[in-house]
Amino acid sequence: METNRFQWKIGGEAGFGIMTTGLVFSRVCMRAGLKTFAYPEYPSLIRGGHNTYQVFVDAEQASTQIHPVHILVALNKETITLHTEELIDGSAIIYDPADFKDGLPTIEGKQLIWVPVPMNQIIKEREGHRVARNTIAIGASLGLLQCPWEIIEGVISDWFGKKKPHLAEENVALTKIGYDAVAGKYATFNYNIEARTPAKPHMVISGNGSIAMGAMKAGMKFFAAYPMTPSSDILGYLSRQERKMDLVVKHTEDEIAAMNMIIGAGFAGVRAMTATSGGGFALMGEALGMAGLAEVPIVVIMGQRPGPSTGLPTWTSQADLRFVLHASQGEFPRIVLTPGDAEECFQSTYEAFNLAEKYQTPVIVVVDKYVQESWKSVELYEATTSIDRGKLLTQDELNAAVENGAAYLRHKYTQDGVSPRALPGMEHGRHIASSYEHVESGATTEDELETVKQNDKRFEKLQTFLKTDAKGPVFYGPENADLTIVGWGSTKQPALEAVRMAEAAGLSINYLHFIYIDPLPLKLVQEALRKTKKTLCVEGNKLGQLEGWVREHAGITMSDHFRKYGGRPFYPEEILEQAKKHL
Amino acid sequence: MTMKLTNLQTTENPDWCPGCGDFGILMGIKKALIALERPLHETCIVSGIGCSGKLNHFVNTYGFEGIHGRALPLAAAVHLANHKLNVVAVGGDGDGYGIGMAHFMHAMRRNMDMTYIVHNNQVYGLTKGQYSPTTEPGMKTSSSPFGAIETPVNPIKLALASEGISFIARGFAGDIQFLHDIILAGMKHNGFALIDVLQPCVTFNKLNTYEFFKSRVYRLDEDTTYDNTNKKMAMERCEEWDTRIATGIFYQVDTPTYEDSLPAIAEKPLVEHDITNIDITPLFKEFM
Repeated sequence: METNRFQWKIGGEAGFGIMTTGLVFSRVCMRAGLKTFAYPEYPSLIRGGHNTYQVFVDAEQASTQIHPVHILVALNKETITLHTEELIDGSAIIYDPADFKDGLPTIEGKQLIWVPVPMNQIIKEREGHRVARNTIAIGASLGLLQCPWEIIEGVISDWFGKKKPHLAEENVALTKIGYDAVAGKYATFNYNIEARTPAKPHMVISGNGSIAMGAMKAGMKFFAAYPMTPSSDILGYLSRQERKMDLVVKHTEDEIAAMNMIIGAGFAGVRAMTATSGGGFALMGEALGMAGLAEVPIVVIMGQRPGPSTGLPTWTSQADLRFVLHASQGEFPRIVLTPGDAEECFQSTYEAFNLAEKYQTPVIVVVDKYVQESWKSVELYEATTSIDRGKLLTQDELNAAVENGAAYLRHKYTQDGVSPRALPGMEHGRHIASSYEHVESGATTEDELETVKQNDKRFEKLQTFLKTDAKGPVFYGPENADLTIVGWGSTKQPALEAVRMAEAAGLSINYLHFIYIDPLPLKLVQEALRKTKKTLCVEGNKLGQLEGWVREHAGITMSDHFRKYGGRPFYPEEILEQAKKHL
Repeated sequence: MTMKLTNLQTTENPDWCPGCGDFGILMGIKKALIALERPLHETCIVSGIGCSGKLNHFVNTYGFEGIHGRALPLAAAVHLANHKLNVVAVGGDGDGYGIGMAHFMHAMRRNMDMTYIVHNNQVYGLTKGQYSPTTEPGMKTSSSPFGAIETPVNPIKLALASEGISFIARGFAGDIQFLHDIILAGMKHNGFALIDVLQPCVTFNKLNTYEFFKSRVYRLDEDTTYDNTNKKMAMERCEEWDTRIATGIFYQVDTPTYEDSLPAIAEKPLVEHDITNIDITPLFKEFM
């Protein structure tokens, strides 16, 4: 019996309620004390098309989806034909015979366990909605896994009870029917759940939810955005929290307005953020440079999906790193962070607000569909640092400066490049912020020397950042490994599992994870890479965007690379396979 | 202490062409700010790019010179961040009715409490005389050597057709006293106030000159039959152009503003919220 490690997958048409089902399943496993990682795939349409949701469950660590599916819930025939390859000997298929009137598909060479559950008939008898088939399927899946009934009942009651209590009762009953139809009847099924008590409480949350929480914890009070997959959920979630958390959330007419708005709010002293994807970020480019020049703190969430142009709107990609690093005309300091999982999405977003105000410049958090829309069980979030507003002046400090006879200069030359900041509404702090090159006061200049000096001042801020706040890449897995997988952003998710699989197979492989991409902390990067023997750079683009960035700045060439750019995320098995080739 | 014009002086001097209508608008704004009797640090003037975009460099308040066409979203957020401020956006006809047209339409729908002054000289000045969205058909410019083909935007009519905006006015840069009255009324108005200002470009627009306007403009407030709460009447007056041109407040009503529906800023401006230790733990339950 394989206990507490398996993968469950459900498939069907959009509109079948698959996303909700996946979340409910994750939550049951989470409350059973297990780690979960849930990953949805769907095309860009509202109804129809093939949707799947898969949940990987493990007692110790679930950072990714894996290749084999141990339980497949097929809400239609297509689900079986499309995912046959993922089934292994001993996998179970839960299906409704009513959906297969022409007979079951023949799958040769695999010992599969067919689990018929008359979901449509049960619903007909109880006059339920078609979507409720999912509830029966959850019951059947968990019955197969011998999950304690009380946990399931608790999750279903809470899930539906928050909306309508009578729905909770009906759904608990449906789940029980599914559970009883299967429990104890499939002795050959070799996977089960044994509930554990976790040391700390957990929640199941997406990367997008984690970003939104990080922003709220950081005191973001203004959010402006235009919907774009995969970042739309941030707008949706923050809109729902607007009243509870005292926010102003603005769905703008376009991304140009969103970017200009957060700059206006940032200038006026409110922590502000936008969230978009490549197409929207393209529209924001011009204003991004203005924030850099006018030294306005802003935070931008840039969620990648495959381009160019509309590309594959609902799939994943890591091909916009160079775009972010070089966006907007001219040169100005920016800080680019690439968190790799839900926990890092929370921490990096929180930290981005402190960095934006300390260095008075745009901070861009680069994520992707894979990390934004996958749901992970995590410990409850806590900030690890306190709010730091940098050189934001109080009215008293400003008064004192004036008493000393000094005129307030918004872009004053300082040793660390950061100038004290006054806000509109403060007495004695009047100044103009400008998209024009300026002198210390903000007044326009076209003088050569002043232009050079202001550029140097702005870039000095990055030197200060590198000395005080920048962090180097982090190793996961054994020290001095024979091979190091190198990655950034969401590559962390499958890479961690690949390292674990390697360890189980007796291979010496570790993972080096980059979050601080720009400015690249050169010494720390070189130090880390000196500790590697062979390196395999794994990233979701064709041209090797991080690999080139590290070569350009640190002068270090990776031993080899593994790249994917078909819209699908990496699987740990394929990373391991590639790694083995280079050992 | 009464404020004087010198209090509004900055270290920068206008570099507009001698005789430019922008000087009239600058004076109108300065006089309105004096009459408003609010401390200068409570005003923020936000601009786009163009000859108009330079204006806030010459008024000693807070200011933000943004990028071309984007003064409105920038200003809207300054206002939402601190709605106690007197926020004024300034732009031009190319800036506001061309590249920035989308923002204009949506700013009107929102009716936020801010003032929007458009320097409408019916030509692109700073880029050396191309035709603009308000250029009269047939006018020859560097980008319309055979005469402009497009039908011009009528900003007042556009605003009247928009539901939401609660103050619609037109001024003339050659009538500073009346312009100052209109700007002051716009600043005092609770809601989005559009002030389209007829502003002769002495260098590139040889058609819509001071003389052109002086022989045509009249003041709506001197017409006792005019009712500025009557949209139909306003629609008729804004069509006038060839023989006479109305200036003054075309339309003014008291309607709810965008920020009236934002509980987060009901008690104090957003910028005054304490963010040092925000409790997000109540958000966790939904995910457990």
